Amino acid sequence: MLVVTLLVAFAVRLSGDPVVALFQGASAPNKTDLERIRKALGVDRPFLVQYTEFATGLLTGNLGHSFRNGQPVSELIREKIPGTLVLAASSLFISIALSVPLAISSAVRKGSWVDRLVRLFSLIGLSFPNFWLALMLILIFGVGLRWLPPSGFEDWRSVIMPATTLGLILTATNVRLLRAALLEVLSTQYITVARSKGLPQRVVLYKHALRNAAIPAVTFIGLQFGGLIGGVVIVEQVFAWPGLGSLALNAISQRDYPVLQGTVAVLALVVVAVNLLIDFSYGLIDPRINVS
Amino acid sequence: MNDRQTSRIRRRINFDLVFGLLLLSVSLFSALFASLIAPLGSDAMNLADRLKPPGVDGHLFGTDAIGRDILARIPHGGQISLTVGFVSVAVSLVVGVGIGLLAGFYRGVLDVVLMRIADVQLSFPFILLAITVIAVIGPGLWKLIFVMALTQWVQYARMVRGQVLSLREQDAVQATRALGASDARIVLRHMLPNLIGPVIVLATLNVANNILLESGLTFLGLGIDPLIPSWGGMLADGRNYMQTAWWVATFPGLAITVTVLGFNLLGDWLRDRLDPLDQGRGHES
Repeated sequence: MLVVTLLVAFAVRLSGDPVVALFQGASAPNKTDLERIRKALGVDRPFLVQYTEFATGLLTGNLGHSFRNGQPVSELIREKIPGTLVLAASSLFISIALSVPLAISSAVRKGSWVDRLVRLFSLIGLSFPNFWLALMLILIFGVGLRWLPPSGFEDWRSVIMPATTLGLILTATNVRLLRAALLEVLSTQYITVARSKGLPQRVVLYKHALRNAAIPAVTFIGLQFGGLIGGVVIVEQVFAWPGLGSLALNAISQRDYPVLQGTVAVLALVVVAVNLLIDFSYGLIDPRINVS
Repeated sequence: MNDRQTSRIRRRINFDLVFGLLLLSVSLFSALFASLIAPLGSDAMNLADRLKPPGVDGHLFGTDAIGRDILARIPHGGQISLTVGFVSVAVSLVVGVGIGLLAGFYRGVLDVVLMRIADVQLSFPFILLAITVIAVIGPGLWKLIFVMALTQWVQYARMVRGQVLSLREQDAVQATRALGASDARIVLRHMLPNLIGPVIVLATLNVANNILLESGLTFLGLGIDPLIPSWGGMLADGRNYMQTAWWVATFPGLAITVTVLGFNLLGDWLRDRLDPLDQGRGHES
């Protein structure tokens, strides 16, 4: 975590003079003005001093103020978190609703045409750029059929397309992981035992197989969560969705260091937290594992 | 060749492989012979033919906002995407495998440092760092490749290191050492061939991944120069004309999908064949 913030802070500072960037397009200010602004923003001080301030601020929840409009960064982030959370939660929901039945029907009849179809589709899902899927959805449902608002945030219907985009991409990965895990579990002896003592297929699958297959699948999902964040950034941008991703991207183009630093730090924190939660969830999935 | 061998080979060739190779050869050949497919070059424009729909006036995929033929631009964009994919993977593979071999074989400080770097990489949403770094050093083909190599060699190094650690304890390797083989000979002749399988799988899938990454960053304006024809750039362009001209954004995306799907199918097939875990038998020779 420390390394991450240090890397980001360092990289961001290399990117050129923020004060000059602030004045992009406007008439060039004179030298004394520039100096004065630098002082006010605190960017005249050495890098290490600035970083220490940022790091201690992070611990106390104070992320500094935006260079652009002086708003506290924590406030900006708090404003955008609900947007990203709604998007993430609804796409996760879509993906679980789709990938569990698909993976089961594919793993149970390995090698059948259902299995082949599911595998091909999940591979195709892995092969498009997520923003292209987003564009195609906009084209079909936003521009062509006019069923859904093409971008921005108008009402609840606005979430459908971005969430579907991310949900489908997630499904593609999850189906593959879950299918592989299920196949592994289904070939074990305790499944054979469960079957041979006459348990119905439903009980064998949901109670015995799915639970045990969930552990490796969930672990991989945690590892790929970082990639999901990247997807969120791009999809938010395409749909002009108000969230942390668009906040970070705008901050990059405006050289708004505190905002970029803060957002990236929060996103990295989320990734670490999710992986921690996944570690804890093992205990719920499999009571044999003692988390403490 | 006897009957058993023929049937074994036939069993290895399946639909996935054929389909994947087909897709790949389409995109590879069109990129290689881009100048034959589009003799006028990718930037020949005709302002009278702006935003022509597919099929009109011999523009099979239509034209973009300044009258450039989309079918002509796609192979040229492919050259960029494939260059990024291959070069970035080649660089990270060579560096990663080299460091992984050294770290796994000699352990020591190098090994410790490598594992720490790997930990950091696992805990960070990587695309964010890539976006930040590119925002800093600026967009560009070689910078993009540099960032990808910088961030991906660790994957290969980790994988190779793990394999070397288990291989070095094996009887075959111990025996070779007892026979007086030099370190270099043990590593290059006895370990490398045994661990290269999964590395090739990872590399194939990473080519696919990097093509996607390149198009994504270019789409955001953080990748290839917009003046150079590239699939991501064409998509970003097409986004502006979504209301009126669907074809501008559709075809470059299809090109990406075809190429990446080809690599993914090939990678999957290779994994099924080469992964020692799935197979239970070695793949010497």
